[in-house]
Amino acid sequence: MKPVSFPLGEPTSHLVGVTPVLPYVVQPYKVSPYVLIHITPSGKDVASAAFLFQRKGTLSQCYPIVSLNGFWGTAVIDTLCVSPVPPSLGKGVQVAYNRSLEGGSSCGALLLNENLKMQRTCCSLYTRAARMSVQTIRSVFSVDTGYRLTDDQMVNHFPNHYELTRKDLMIKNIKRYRKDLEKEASPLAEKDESGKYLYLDFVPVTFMLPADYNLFVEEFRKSPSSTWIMKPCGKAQGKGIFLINKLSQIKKWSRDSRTFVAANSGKEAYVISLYIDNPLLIGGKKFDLRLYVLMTSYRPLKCYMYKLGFCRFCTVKYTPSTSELDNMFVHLTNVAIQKHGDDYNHVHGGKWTVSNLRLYLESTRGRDVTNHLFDQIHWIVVQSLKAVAPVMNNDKHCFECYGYDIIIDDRLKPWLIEVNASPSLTSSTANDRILKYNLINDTLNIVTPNGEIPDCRWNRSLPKEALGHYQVLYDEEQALSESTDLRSCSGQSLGSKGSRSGSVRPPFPATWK
Amino acid sequence: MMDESTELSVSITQIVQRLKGTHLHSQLEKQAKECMHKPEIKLETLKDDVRRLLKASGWERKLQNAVYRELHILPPPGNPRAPPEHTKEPLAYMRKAQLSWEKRILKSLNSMCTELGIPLARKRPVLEQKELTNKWNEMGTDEPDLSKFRPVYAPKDFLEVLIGLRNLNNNRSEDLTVRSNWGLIQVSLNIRDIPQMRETYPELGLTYGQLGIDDHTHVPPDLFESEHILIGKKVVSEQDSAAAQQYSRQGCPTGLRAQLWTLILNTTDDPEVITHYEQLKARVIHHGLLVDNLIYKDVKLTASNDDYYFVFEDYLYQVLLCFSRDTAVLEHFNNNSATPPKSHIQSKSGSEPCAVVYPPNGVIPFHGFSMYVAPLCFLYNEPSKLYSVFREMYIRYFFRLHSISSHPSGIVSLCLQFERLLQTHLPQLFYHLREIGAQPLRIAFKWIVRAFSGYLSTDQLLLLWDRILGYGSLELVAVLAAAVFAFRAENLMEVTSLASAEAVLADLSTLKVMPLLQIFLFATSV
Repeated sequence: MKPVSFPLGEPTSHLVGVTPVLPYVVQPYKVSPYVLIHITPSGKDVASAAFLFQRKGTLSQCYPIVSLNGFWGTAVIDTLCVSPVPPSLGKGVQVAYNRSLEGGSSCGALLLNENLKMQRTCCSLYTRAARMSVQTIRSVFSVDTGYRLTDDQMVNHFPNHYELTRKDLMIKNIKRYRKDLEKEASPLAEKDESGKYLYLDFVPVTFMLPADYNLFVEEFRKSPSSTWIMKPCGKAQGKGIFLINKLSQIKKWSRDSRTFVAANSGKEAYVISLYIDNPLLIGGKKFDLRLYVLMTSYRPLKCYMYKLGFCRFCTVKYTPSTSELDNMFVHLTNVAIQKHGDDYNHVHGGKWTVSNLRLYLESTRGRDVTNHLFDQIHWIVVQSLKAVAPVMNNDKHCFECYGYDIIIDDRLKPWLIEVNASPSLTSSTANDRILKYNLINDTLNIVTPNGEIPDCRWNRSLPKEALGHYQVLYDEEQALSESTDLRSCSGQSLGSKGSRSGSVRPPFPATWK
Repeated sequence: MMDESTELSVSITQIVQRLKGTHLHSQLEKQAKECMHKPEIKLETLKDDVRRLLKASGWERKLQNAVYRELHILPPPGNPRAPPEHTKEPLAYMRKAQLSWEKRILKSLNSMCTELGIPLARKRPVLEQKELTNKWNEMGTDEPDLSKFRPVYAPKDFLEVLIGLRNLNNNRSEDLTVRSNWGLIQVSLNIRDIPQMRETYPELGLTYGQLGIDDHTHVPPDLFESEHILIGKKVVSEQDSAAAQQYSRQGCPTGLRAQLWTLILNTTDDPEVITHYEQLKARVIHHGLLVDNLIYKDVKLTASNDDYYFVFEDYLYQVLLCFSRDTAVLEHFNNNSATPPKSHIQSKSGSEPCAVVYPPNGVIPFHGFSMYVAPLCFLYNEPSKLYSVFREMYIRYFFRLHSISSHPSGIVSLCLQFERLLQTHLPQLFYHLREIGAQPLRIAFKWIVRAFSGYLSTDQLLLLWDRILGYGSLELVAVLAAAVFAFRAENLMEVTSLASAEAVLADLSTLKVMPLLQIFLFATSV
């Protein structure tokens, strides 16, 4: 099946509100935000029917579209695994799912017939499904389970994705990556006079608490007027985050908080990062960037950048004054937090597209600086992925769509804040719905191209047209072959690219453009 | 009738008159005096030497740009004996209609004032002044109760007035052709057809490079664009208004647009511009006006809910509140068919009431007014600069979109132009829509009144406004409206009600402006 195409310049959004003729009941907007995915499902055989369903649901947190008469309710689907039914069971598709609800999670498996109507729940699959959640995904690949994923099964997480998506581990991996490069005397690890990395200084100074407490105190004393942000390692959506600007606050916190004690036993650790107190403001408001990055393989590294990211704006004016430290709405841009602010607007949800950002920056600051900023953003994404590549379990059944959170400061330097393994795919506004629809659609078109049954052995190199709104961010194989070509014709060494002195632009292969 | 040379000399006198006493005038004098001390000035060739030096130091260019600006806003030459209102609008029935429309708006404003018991203007207490000063940059966080306020009028109300326009000199039964009865606008004005427009807009032709088209083709990559950017940089460095305007006809590159537009509009960043803005700000802080509430309400209803513009909410308050206090805006009524609304106040000294212009700038905002400013926020992040560009855009172009006149860029002409284009080139579509009760103008009017702001995506809107500035005319707004109908004609032929026709045209944010304009103007068979 080809991606749905529209005539020149004609929008998908134009079709919102126009109900396509579907062979199944279309659920109302809130329950199934991705109705538009199923415009051409007629005349499909079992395999593509399975695929159709998969396009709707494989990614975490997306509401499946198939009418199950409210069975799914508003639960968030964490993981979904789809495979064809063994011939002995007749035509259809089996689906194992794991969903998280407010205050708990459940899992199960279903058998759907060829019209994607639910036939029955399927207990034999239950145990497998129980293992599949973003937290427990690792066990799916464990040898002890006695279960192996078949070639036509794809899973939307890497077994140990937390190496990148847990705040403390990401920092650890990046620090190690820098050291490794330094040891190799790589030009990438070059430092300026003050000892800062020229190309690898892209995360705010961060320490693990309580482990690095002494290091933190040392750093804090160097600049006592700075503000720091405390984040629990394993939580998302802005939960448990607070700001401090005095050492006494952190001492008080460690006394008061039992978690600190628990953290000593390794259960709940915190990271403390230098707070970016000079963020770029637009219209006087603070914002951060949410970008989507699709990873299909860590070794060789192959990743895609989604062009339709967005900026999330604070609804409350930004004041760097410390009196506002308690007002989280000023500092955190997470939609989950901002939604509780009084000013939250349900039409745009505080979201501004990256293309708006580009237009604004190019108009007010010029084309070259803007291009440089976006080059740098791409650069830090690639470096963060390279940093975790050696430790990642690169299972061929896996792909993952990450939500990158980036803050830009007023000197137009981007900072990597964190990476999410299960970026929210629910939609808060109409435009958001179109974006998420496109994101899921394009992701699945890359992971399972041509609408065929997934095949994890397939080597994924797609023509530009098949990428949708994705662009290749980095393709290690291609980059290597290009640089070999380069070397053979000009005799240049690979490293010399990075050591050009005086060049502001970090060394970068041309593959993502 | 005046001949050309007298016309020219009248214009020259007018311009000289207007430039006398300006800041530029005194600066030029100062510069000329300073020249005297230079050794290269010789007494025998004094005049030429001074001139040469002024030219070399760029002051001549500044003078040229100022003259060029005056030419833009100069009222059309009329018979010197004709009363001024005839120069502003030659057609009596237009003047009459505008007058009664103004009366209606003012009445509605006055009745709101009485109903709510809110004065038109009041001095703010000191505490309130302080508060406003503190939150000047975050007025959007304020949530005043605006439920009692309603926009004085919406584009819809204005459309009804235009539909009602009649030229009483015309005996309708014999003079109107079948064609003119089709549409909603029932007056006849001189409108250009496509062959005439092809002559007016040669740079939009198929053989010219266009930003908005040729920067997106892949073969040859970026050839036109990089060349065009190079020329653009040169235009900016030359600081030549006329060249910038000509350049803008093929589109401004995003990175140069802000500079090019200030050049075309000749809005300098002199310190006096900033002082002027600060003065206006002080006026806002000292006195509150009833129209402030209308401005708040309008921003809340439009820009604050807009995917593109919500981030600039606070800038919009600042600019619009200052705008309402700016008496320099009154100048534009010299070539506007409208007259500034007056209100009566009790003067301090005597009991005799005297008439003052209200609001001070003479412009009563209507629903959607803030969308004239919103797109400019993408270009200028300094409020004073944003302000001066907006004000110049308003007194050159935007005022024509909500005053009744026969001017070719006026709203009546644009509506008529739009209807004529559809009737001539898509008669079947026009007929079909009319039959199902979906007169095209009823759908397109809101686009035209806002010059498409808030309907197109911002990058596309700016490409359209490039051309408005480039040609000094709003005519292309009407052409684009017709081109949008042409582009969606196939879907529109299928609809059977006004609501579904509106649905087909509800989202214009994915349209590409320049291909639409180019195809409609140059690839339509005539």
